[in-house]
Amino acid sequence: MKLTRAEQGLIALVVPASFREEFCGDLIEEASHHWRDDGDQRAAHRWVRGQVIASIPSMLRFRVHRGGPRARWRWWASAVGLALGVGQALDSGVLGSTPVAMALTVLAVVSLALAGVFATSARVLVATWTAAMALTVVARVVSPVPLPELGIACGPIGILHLFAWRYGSRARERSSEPGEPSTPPAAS
Amino acid sequence: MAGNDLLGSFEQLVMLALLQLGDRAYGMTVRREIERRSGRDVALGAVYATLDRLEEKGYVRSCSGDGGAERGGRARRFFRVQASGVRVLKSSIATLDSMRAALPGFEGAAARAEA
Repeated sequence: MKLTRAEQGLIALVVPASFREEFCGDLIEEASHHWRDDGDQRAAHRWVRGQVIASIPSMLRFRVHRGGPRARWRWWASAVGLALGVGQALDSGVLGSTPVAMALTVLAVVSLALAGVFATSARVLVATWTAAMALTVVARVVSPVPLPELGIACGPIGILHLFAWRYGSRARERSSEPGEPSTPPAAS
Repeated sequence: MAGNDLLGSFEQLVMLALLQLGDRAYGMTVRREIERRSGRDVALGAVYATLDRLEEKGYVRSCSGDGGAERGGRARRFFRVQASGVRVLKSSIATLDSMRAALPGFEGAAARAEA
């Protein structure tokens, strides 16, 4: 059994590089057992996705504890960004719009907050930021009620994330605290 | 390293699974062993995060092993409990036993609390 591109992307976003290969290998091995036992490949892939999603809380805690100053900056930026995004979305009156517009707005704000913590490169962060802004534009287009302020919901959050990314990298370079590596140590 | 450290409940489960599995202990087998014994759903990420934390504390040690065709050639990471890990595990379990022993009629009290 092979992981799909989407599953690999999700794993790359969630699981730290220090044990990503072993993590993928374990998932493939166990999913292959499920496939062999049940004869249902789709169910095996659903199991893989379920495992990755269920691992998000643990991986979040792992990144905060092991990430050092950079992770702390990004964690704070994500929390503040999430609060800003929710506030701006509520202020724009999205609750009075359609469920589709609300879902698009939630997806935009939450994906940006998650990317703030999980993105492995500035490029991924900018791509997620662009996608989030596009989602809010679509939400404005499909909404029967005008949502003029929704267009600026993701802009400041993205800037905040990029600032945290850059400042966090500098903090990591300055920091030489023992036991606080900026990236988890490689497997011995 | 151990000092007065006590392991959390999931850390204890992981350590006990490692001891149970011996040389076959790696992420997938640990996850399955805990799931089989405890009957609770366990995320592979939770197992890896816990193993990494235990290794950082020096309670377990890991080494890389070859991956077979059934895992797309991806390496396995085997874990082994260290002496300090056994000590802190015993200490954690003994503490729990001691707390329970200090409560006279534990079973009755627990049954009353559940009722």
